[in-house]
Amino acid sequence: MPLHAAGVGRPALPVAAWLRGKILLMSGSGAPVSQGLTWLPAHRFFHELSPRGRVVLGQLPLTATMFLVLGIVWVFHPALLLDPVFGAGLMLHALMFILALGIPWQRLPPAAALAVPVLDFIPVGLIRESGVETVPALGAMAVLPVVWLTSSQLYPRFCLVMSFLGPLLMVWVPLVLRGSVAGEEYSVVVLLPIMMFATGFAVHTLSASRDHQQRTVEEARAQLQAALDSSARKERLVNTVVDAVGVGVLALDAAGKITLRNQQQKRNHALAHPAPAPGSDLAEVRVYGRGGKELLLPEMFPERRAAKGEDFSDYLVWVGENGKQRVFSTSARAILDDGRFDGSVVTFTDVSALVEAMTAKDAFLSNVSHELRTPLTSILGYTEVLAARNDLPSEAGVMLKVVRRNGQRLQRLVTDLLTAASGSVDVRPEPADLAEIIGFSLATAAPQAGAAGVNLVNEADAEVPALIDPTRMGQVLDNLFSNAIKYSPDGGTVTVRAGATEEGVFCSVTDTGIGMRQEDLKELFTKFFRSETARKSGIPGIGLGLAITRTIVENHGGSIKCTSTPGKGSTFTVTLPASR
Amino acid sequence: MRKTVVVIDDDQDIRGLIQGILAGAGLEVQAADTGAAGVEAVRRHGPDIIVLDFGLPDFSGVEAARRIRGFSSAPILMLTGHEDLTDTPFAAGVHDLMAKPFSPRELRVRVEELLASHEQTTVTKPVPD
Repeated sequence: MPLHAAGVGRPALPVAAWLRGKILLMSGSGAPVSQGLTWLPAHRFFHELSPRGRVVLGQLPLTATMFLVLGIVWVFHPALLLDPVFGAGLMLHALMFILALGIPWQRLPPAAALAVPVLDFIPVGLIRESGVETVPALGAMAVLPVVWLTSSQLYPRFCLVMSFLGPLLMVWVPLVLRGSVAGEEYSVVVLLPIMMFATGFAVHTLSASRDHQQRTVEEARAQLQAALDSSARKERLVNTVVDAVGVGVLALDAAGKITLRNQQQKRNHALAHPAPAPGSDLAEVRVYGRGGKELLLPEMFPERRAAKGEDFSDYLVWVGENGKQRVFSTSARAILDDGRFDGSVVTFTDVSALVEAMTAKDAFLSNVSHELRTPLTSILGYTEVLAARNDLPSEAGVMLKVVRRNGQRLQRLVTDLLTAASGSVDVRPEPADLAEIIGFSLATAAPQAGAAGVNLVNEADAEVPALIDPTRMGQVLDNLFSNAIKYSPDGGTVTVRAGATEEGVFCSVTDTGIGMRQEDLKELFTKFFRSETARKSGIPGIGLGLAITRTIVENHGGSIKCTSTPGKGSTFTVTLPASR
Repeated sequence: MRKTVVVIDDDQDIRGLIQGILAGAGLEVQAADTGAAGVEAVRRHGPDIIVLDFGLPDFSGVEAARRIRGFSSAPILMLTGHEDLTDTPFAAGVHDLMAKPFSPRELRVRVEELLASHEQTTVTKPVPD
């Protein structure tokens, strides 16, 4: 059997621990204080006692010592029991104990309890005076009120003074009463008060240090508890928010292990993991790539990519079996701890409706484009072929022009609708002369203006070099002229001005038509918007021309604005950046 | 000798219109209303130029162009009612694109230009020893 196991090789642990506790207590070190006193639970519940309980408990050691002294005297010095001073000391202490029990300390200030140890010096002094000759150590009982006073941490200066003054009065008052005048007698006995003061000072220092440590520990504990409470509250809030959102949320740790999956993601997970088919015990993970047709390789699953530390956005995956398939836009953000990968958060947003709508829109655009343009091709093509013949009656030529004009109008409408629906306008700027494009557009608008009795006036500079897409800018001018003429139902004048400015070039189209109200100006460039005056006047239109016009101008890096007065007309001004 | 054109378009009216325009330009016109029939017509007649619609009932004009390129080098002019086409038609061997609705005069000019440029390319092609 090994030696240490027999208890020889190591000290008796409880004693060692007690000693260590004592040493640490004396050195004033921190946490081990309570460790060293764990065998004595009193320090823990002392503060929880009622004020009366505390006074009684404070007085109890002296009372117990009194009983011990009484026993010793009874056995070894019974003559002392007959000494009236000794009896008075005992009686006084007994009276004080009864008072300690009876006084309602809870109604008095805490410092009132200090009266008990201060008054304790009197019975101790009486007993010492009567028996100091036979039992010299009786004076040492003064240490008990001294310890009480100096450990209370109330009025520390008063208590320290009393820890010297109390024992001093205890030994000097009898000398004074006896009429002693020998200075030596006074100086010999002063050793006791000095020792008592030293003890009181040590107790005060240790007690203050312990109280300070206890306060520090209490504060730290309170802060820790507050931090824990706050953290728990935040966790509850985060969990509730994460569960409340309609987006699937998945959190992974650095090893790729799932640490959080919200309610929505649990449903998404179930969609990707349907019950295995009958006869098969292998469940297939239903996650597909773009289009939702081909199963995705597991390493391309969003959570696998995120676990490798990848950050990504709007990565589309198709999840679930045919018929129940949903499309998710997934995003991942790595969690970094001091630059080190510490996990990731992946979100799964259901974009099925959006993808469905986009697919439907693309199909619609493609179909409408084809279906509308095919008959237009025939109408416009045959009209042109027919118009080129010179064997037609003259009325037929006029009628063909009407057919052709309306066919072209329909073609413009189709183009506008499709441009608006596709949401983008391709602009390829090149150096060109805006004045020349204005000339072409005016020529195109001339027949419409003639029919409406509108006078077209060109006040543009002879040359306006600009960086523009000639076709798209032609579309802008066609729109502006067409509108200006259309909204001048009683004839009038449409004036176009263009030239260079400090910032670039400008082009304005002013009409003397029906104008617009100020509130209509705000919505003027919005798709499908038509002003109240336009609607009431019965002028046809679908409200796309100006929306497309603005898109084209803005794609050139320019801007368009409109000023208008109802009944007086409107001015549209396009500003474009300089060509160089 | 008269040049031959194969017109492939599923819309009868447009087919008739193109036939009329190109016949007026002095070309011999063969017409087809589906992709398959068009590819077959090109194989049979060996035309000098092909006018091909983008949207055909059986397969797309791009697919028809790809199949034609398997055996013929005649220039292909593609007609389309779709606005935003990618480069796919050119990758499939289409020489030129024209948007619908088109002007008959412009169609005639474009066909004549294609024929002329193709003829030039064929003539200047180095002859192997």
